[in-house]
Amino acid sequence: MNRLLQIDWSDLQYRAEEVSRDVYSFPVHIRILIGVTLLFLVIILLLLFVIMGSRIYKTQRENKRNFLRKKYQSVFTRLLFESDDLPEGEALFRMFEDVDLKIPYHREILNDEIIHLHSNFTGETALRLEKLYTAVLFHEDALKRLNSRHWHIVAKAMRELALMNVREAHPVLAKFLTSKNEILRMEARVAMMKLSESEPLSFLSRETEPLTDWDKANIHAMLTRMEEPVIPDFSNWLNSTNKTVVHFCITMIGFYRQQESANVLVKMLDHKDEHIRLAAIRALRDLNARSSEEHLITLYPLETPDIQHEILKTLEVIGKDKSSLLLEKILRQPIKEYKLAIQAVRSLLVTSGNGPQKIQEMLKGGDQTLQLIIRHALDKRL
Amino acid sequence: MGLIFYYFTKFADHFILIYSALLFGTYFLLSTFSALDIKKYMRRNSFIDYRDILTAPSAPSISIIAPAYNESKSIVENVRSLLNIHYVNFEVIIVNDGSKDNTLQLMIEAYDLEIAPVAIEPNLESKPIVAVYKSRTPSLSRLTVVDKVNGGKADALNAGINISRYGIFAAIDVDCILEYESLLKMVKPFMEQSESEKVIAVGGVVRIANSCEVKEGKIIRVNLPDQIIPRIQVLEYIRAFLLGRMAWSRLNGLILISGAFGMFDKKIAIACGGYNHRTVGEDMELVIRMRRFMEEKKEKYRVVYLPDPLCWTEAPSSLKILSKQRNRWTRGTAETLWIHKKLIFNPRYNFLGMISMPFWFLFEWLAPIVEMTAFLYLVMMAFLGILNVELFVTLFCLIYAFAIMYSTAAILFEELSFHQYKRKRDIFRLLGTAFIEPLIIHPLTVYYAIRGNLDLMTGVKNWGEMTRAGFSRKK
Repeated sequence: MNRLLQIDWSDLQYRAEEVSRDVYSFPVHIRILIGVTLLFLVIILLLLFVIMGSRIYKTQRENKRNFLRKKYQSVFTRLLFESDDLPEGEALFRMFEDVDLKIPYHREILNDEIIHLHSNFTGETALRLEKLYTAVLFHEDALKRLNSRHWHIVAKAMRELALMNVREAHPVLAKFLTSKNEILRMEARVAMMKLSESEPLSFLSRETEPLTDWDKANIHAMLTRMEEPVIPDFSNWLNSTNKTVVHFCITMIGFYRQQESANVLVKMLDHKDEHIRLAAIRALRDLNARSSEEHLITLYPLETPDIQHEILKTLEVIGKDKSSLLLEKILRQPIKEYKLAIQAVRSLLVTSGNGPQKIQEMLKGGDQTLQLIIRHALDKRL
Repeated sequence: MGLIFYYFTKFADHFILIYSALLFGTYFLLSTFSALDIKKYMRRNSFIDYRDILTAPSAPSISIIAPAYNESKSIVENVRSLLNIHYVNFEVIIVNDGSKDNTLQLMIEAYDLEIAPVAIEPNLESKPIVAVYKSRTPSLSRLTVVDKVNGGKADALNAGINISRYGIFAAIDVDCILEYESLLKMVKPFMEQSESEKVIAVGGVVRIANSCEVKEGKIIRVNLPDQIIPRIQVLEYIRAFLLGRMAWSRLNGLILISGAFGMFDKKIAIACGGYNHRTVGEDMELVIRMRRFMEEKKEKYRVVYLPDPLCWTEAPSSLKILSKQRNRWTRGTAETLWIHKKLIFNPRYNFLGMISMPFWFLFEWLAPIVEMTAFLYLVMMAFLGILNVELFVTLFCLIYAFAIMYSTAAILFEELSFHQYKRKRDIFRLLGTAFIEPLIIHPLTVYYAIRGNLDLMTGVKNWGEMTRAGFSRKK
């Protein structure tokens, strides 16, 4: 008998044995059910421990993050908004206390803070943050992370090194261009673009895997982010066997208004891939390539409705009298696709001197559908 | 006779046991797949900058379609919230589905609308359109308001699709609050699709906004609902979205994207005939029909689900409204399964036919019926004085323990992934809810599901009006 707690252990032991005897007296399926229920209860307890543990861990980390942010608020404010009297070299290192640069989690927080600020600033401020980043040797941490077994840590490190302009990382990143992991390949491409001294898009010549629209968005975003972008002649890749590379380059020709490539683009109008033809028509519109007008008119009846719509939109920009004949013909025929008819009206208005007059005539003499289409097309909000 | 009864009771006991074991096993598998997919998703997107989409020439344009019926309490604020979405190229189409209140008038006044001469291609069948409105204010050029004769949600969405200009449309409940980056996150899977595998639809996790602090159409503080009914639904939603749909997404077997917020490939939706007017489960029916279309065309495709909390909605806070909602969900599921009954256990439809559809039939539609039948069986046995008390008690304890374990696992997933409920007491309240839900609300939801099936058999077709308090009234 435990006198302090007033528990009779022998009684408890007896009762436990009694319960055990009772349980064993149940049929086997009932015993299995009891066993599984107990297992579930144990799992519930474990889950509860993990939830509580995670909550405590997260709270502690958040508190530490807030503490360090507050502690170095003045340092970052000075770095961001005071351009004069900023420390250089070793002195930059001393902006942080040794202890905060030694404890891994503190380093991680400061690193994240610099990256976060850098992603929101450009120019001189971004340069100062880059200097601070390398002065406190955060780039070495990122380079070490490139050897991690976890792909997402490697990918994040690549992004960080590119963002912070760590040029010494360029040769190390090359090995990831052939990685089996598509995300690592993508991050390596984009990072190498940023860090390369010249020919940032040289990887396009070697690219055999299809680029998704997401990949293209990443490459394009990096191009626009580069301070002195060395924009190549994108027509160099129009003969690539990778259709997605060709598609991307056509889009870029239009985006960067590479007028000298207009003639090559006209040839792409006969490409067998619909997406490439569509991109070429859009790019010709961006380039205001009047020389392609005739080709587009010839192509129109052979194309899918989506491409026909793009052709009509392009004719609105580049078309002249020849186009107006086609446009008028479209509107005189029974209307099958409203989208095409609406665009035809809009294009006819600008391609020919007497376009507005013709539209007015159709508005008066046309059937109800055509009248509605014309009124729709004339309303610029629609 | 006695022998028959003996075998009947043996069969019933074994059926209940086997059904429960199958259900537990399936849920366990689903949570495992879900955990793997959430982990992959979080790793994949932990370092990317969604803002890259904003400058990309390859970023798709989106038509947001929001049907509105008697939404005068919050329509002006809701439309403003939709117009402020962080995206580059989108239009907002509000379809006033013959509201009986002044929903349309409020929009006309707030957004300076006038009738515009719109030529609408009747790709999909819908009730007649009375007028289309555009704003006189140039900065509101993204907004289009369609006023049409009442025809229900599916009909309103079809009208919206007909008038939409872009290749991808997002169907959304007008009173939902979208997260700032929700469209950017939702279009990413469309941008990641390859030529060999098309993404036909993307869904996002819907969360419950009751008791959350809302300002100018944005959630500024996430709180756990104060009332017990919405709080239980928080748990249900976390379970359904984080443990269920994520797993189906990983297996490429998802057949339900919440009507509250989903994004679809317009061409395929139109090719399938758009939303179905004949069911109140139009959201699920459309996804199944799109999948069926792709299967029959023998083209590879994916339906993607994102675990991010992208959309916040107000959950029913009274039993009366909850009963209407669950009744409608059951009717929707039953109608959809009936429409596509040909797919169930049909190997021609691959995973959709052999796994997804049978699962929904056996464990979603049938589960409440089995539960109710088992309950009635136990009552009958007790009444006859031959209830196997040992089996009843142990089975009850097992099911109760499983329900708590499953909910606790869902809370853990939420804690480790998106960590929306930051206050310590919220976690304790959620855990407490996990203990009481199986005893209080679950039996009611089973009852509502049975009522739904009975209503369906007796020909009830209505959508069931959902009265909402509106976010603007919250603190």
